Amino acid sequence: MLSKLREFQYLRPRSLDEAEELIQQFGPDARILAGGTDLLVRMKERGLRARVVVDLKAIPGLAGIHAEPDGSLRIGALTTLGDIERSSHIRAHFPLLWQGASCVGSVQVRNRATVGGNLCNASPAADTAPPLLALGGEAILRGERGERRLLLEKFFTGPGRTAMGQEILVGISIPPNGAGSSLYLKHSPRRAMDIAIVSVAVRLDVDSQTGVCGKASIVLGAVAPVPLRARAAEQTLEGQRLTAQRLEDAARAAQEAAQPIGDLRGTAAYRREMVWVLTRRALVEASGAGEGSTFFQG
Amino acid sequence: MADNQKAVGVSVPRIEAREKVLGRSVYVDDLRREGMIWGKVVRSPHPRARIVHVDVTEARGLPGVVAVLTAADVPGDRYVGPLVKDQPILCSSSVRFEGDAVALVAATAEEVAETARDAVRVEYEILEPVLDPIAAMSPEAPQVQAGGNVASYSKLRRGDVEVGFRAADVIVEDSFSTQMIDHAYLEPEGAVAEVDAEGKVTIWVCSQYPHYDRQEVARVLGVSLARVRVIQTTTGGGFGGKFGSPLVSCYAALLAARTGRPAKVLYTREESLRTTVKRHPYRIHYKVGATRSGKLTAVEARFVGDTGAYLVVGRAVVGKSTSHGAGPYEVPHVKMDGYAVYTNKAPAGAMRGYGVPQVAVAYESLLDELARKLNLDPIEFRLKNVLREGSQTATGQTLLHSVGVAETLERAADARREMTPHLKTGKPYLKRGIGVGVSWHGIGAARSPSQATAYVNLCGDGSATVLCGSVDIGQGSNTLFSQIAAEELGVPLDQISVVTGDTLTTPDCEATTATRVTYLSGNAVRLAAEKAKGTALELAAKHFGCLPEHLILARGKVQVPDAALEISLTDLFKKHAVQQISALGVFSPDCTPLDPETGQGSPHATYGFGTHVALVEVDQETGAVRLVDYAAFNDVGKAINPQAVEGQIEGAVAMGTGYALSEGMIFDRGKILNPSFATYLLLTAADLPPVRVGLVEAPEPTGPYGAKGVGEPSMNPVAAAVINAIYDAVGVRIRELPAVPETVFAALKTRQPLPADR
Amino acid sequence: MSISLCVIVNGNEHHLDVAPHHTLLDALREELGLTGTKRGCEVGDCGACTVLLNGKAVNSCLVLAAETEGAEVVTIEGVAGREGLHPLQEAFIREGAVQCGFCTPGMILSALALLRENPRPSDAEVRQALSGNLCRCTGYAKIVQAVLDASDASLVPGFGRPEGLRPSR
Repeated sequence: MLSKLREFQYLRPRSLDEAEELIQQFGPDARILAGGTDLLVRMKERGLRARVVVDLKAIPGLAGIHAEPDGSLRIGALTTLGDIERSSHIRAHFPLLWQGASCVGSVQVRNRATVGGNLCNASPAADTAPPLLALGGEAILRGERGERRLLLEKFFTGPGRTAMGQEILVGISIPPNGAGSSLYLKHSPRRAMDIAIVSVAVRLDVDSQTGVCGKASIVLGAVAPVPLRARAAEQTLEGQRLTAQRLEDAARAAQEAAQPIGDLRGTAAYRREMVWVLTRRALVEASGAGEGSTFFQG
Repeated sequence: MADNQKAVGVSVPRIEAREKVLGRSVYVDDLRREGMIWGKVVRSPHPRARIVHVDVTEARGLPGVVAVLTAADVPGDRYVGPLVKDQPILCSSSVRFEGDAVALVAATAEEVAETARDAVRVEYEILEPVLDPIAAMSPEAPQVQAGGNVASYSKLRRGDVEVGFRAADVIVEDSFSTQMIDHAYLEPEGAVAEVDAEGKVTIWVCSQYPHYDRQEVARVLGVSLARVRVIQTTTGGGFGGKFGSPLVSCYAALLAARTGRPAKVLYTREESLRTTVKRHPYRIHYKVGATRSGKLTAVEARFVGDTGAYLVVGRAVVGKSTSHGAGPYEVPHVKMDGYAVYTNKAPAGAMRGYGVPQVAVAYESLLDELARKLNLDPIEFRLKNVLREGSQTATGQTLLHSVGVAETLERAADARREMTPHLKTGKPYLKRGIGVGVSWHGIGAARSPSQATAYVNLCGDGSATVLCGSVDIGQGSNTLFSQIAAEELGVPLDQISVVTGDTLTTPDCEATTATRVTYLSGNAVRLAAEKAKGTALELAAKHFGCLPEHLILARGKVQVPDAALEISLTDLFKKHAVQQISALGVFSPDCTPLDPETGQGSPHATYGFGTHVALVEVDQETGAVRLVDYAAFNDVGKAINPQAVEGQIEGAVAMGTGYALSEGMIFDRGKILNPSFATYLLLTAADLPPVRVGLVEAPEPTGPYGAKGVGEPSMNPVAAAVINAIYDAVGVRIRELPAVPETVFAALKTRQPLPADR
Repeated sequence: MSISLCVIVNGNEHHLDVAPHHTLLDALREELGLTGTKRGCEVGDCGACTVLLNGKAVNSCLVLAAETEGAEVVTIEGVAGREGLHPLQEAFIREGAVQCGFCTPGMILSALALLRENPRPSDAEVRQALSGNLCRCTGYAKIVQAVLDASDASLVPGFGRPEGLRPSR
């Protein structure tokens, strides 16, 4: 039942070491606060209780977008989705991530919500997850034994669950995007302030000379316990010339990979149909077979 | 207004707009009183159950808790309701919907009150809920209310539909269902109550009808009306949902009376969505016949309105469907049967349109089907049948004046022509179509007598105060009253003060509802101002030794235009030892109640009409529908404030499009699954196109300056236009609202091949 | 246990003692009496509680007061200057963008944030920027118009209302 927040202890560590200590000390009693747009909602709406709230925002260096000389990208976990949306570098070089970040909630939500929070919340419908998976992103985790990197594909283990131990997600690392073309499609009843019924991120490396597809990434949102990489669909395309039939086959393969549930946003059967529609549409657009590659939402 | 400038017919900014843009208007949640306590309501988690035991011990023992009340603590009557007193303030023996109130707690802080609310232990014996309204009508169904589940039955009989259908060359027939929606005003319900040293209770509440709230509070407290004062706070939207706010008013009053401390009860958004009144979901069956030449011969319909656990105004809502079910058309043979049925769901009540949007979407869908079968253009077909001056409605009422529906259709045809070039899309899977919806709405409640009352006090400097019971809920009626008074009294707008919404000082004008304020209360204000002016002119006529008809009142002076003479009201009043002139205006519309057997009568003195045109884009692969363009034409009689009228229509288009496409309470075994704005989907600014509004003014001789009203007539045709546009785009008929992507997708899967010409 | 913090609200420095679980919305309304910021849903779905936090539009119901140490907050009470109303406020009045008024403060702050970032927005950009602010009265039409009117776009020759159908009278 929707309620006001209940009393908790608010802690604001100034360093990662301090934050880690607090997490070790309080264990599951501690809730990590980044942007607050998920955590505070769950506390108010679903009675999620916290004895201690550990706010990471006073830790220096956790927010920021860093373009590395090799073309890769490092994004601090506390970078807001709004900052990603406003980044001309991301828009130009990682449009897939830009599209995912820009369609979360509202301006107000994006000004608070962080990319780290969006991932750690581990919603299968998180809008930054399919793009980041498709881009081959890695989570940079900081724990007792120092820093480790984990492919985002392996980061999610179930709805609301991640492979993190008592660790802190400090950032995301994305390899150079190269010349691949990509598209994120989100299907939701409203054009803003909505959660995906189904979403899909695709990224294709197509040789402009031969028309042969190199690496292909197809990641589905909201149709499985985790953001789902549709490997069979990718394999349908890799090393192949991208004919209309090929794209359709890949979309079928994605549809077969989906394991949707039904909820108030849509039945499982509808979601499965939409995986096919959205994947095919995204592949057609991204491969240049469509008329113009506009960012689609609807 | 300057002497040559009028106040009526001018788009003046609303009088409280400055306060609102500065954030200074005081809404109920903005009130703070010294020592104020917070109340929370303990609600049933079950749609139907027997209350076995209520244990308040733990809640009462929490630090900061000052009161825990159950039904036994209610000093007066325990039941409220505008038509039938069937809704318990606090349930004692059984609960009838998920959210029914069982106990009331109060504490010194809102969080503590919530903790206490959650600490009240209620033992229930869970019973199988009655959820399907059709099944509920069976005599074997468990009874939601002691009197049976059929709460009301309203009929309309005109001519003989058998004869009418025999005369028809084409007959169409189909079933439709509409969903439960919420008013979803941005301000949730709330009230603050305080008891003074004399024991009198004052309640501040966001409400459409403070005088009704006073009646219920007085009954529940068991005191006379004189002991209760209700003051309406700035109200953040109503749309029928705050058609009286008796429950929340009573909760605050009970707590204040019990503790002697000021008490605030403010619903959360979840409570507002889960437990307050809703729009009636309908099951509808229509059969409509027409001749080959396109004349309607007969309409037969049956509606079942799901009124939920309590009647509220269900009987009247379904009655309005019955009287309006044949639309603004001449139909010789009409048969309507409407039922309001109890189920174990949140009570349905008044909501903008009041039973008309539901039937309009079904009926207008079938009129499009008829037009298609007759190979007639949908607008041309409707024009052959619409009411005109001298026409008889289905209730047998002859309309002599102000029937602008044909003009709205003609204007709609122009708009459709302008939209036609935009039917193309850049994608093969996106299809566009244009749909038309026509509707009407009787002004004021369908009964007799009904009246509005206003006082005008005219001061020596020409300024005046208007006192009227009709409250402004955001639609702008206080501005309208000041425009009318300024017009009559010949002063600028800022010389008029408007007092509304205080039961101590303003007359009971009935609720701000039923599109009645402009017509009824506007007339009352006009009559009062006219009378005050008349008295002043009579005094001046004596002074000048002329006839009052030769005088004019402007800017605080009475002038004899022919002789270039004038006297100030100040001097005039001094001369006659008058402090101010007070005048009373009373207006009752000319109507006759409907005959209960035939549904015949003249339930409304006048009607508002509208034709709306929607251009939608349907994604054939996903079922997603987007509104691309929209034109709305409403016959409002006269727009006293054109900008405010446009604003009403634009708001109705958004609300109606949400009704058509996205909104709806989603239930699982009687429990609402989507009690938040993240799951109950109101359309956002990004989902809507600019709306073109065209005002048609077929003057109503009995209206103030010819005005009728617009609140509901603008709502009624929207969903119909959108649903017809979906058909035009992709050839599927949506019979079940809302047309969410999955519903449209499912319909597309069963689609017949499209006609070759598309 | 309360937390002491210093926050600049509408240009004035305030030293507040807040409960850790109180939101910025609670602090503005309860501690500072700035009730122009409205409570519509408490969970960031409606935008009625929108304020500017360090220049960016946020839902104050989803910000803990404790998080605002050292921050600058602008509420509706701080939008008008000493010289009078802000052009956005004037435009809201002039265009009839205010009905019940409950969404108005949040709308104005979202619009203010937009115009600071994008002084010449298109109709679509205004609609996107306001999509986190629900309104049930106006259908957004006159609100969008008011924001366009208050923007630099209104200085461009030929700027006007979208082609509408004129009332007949």
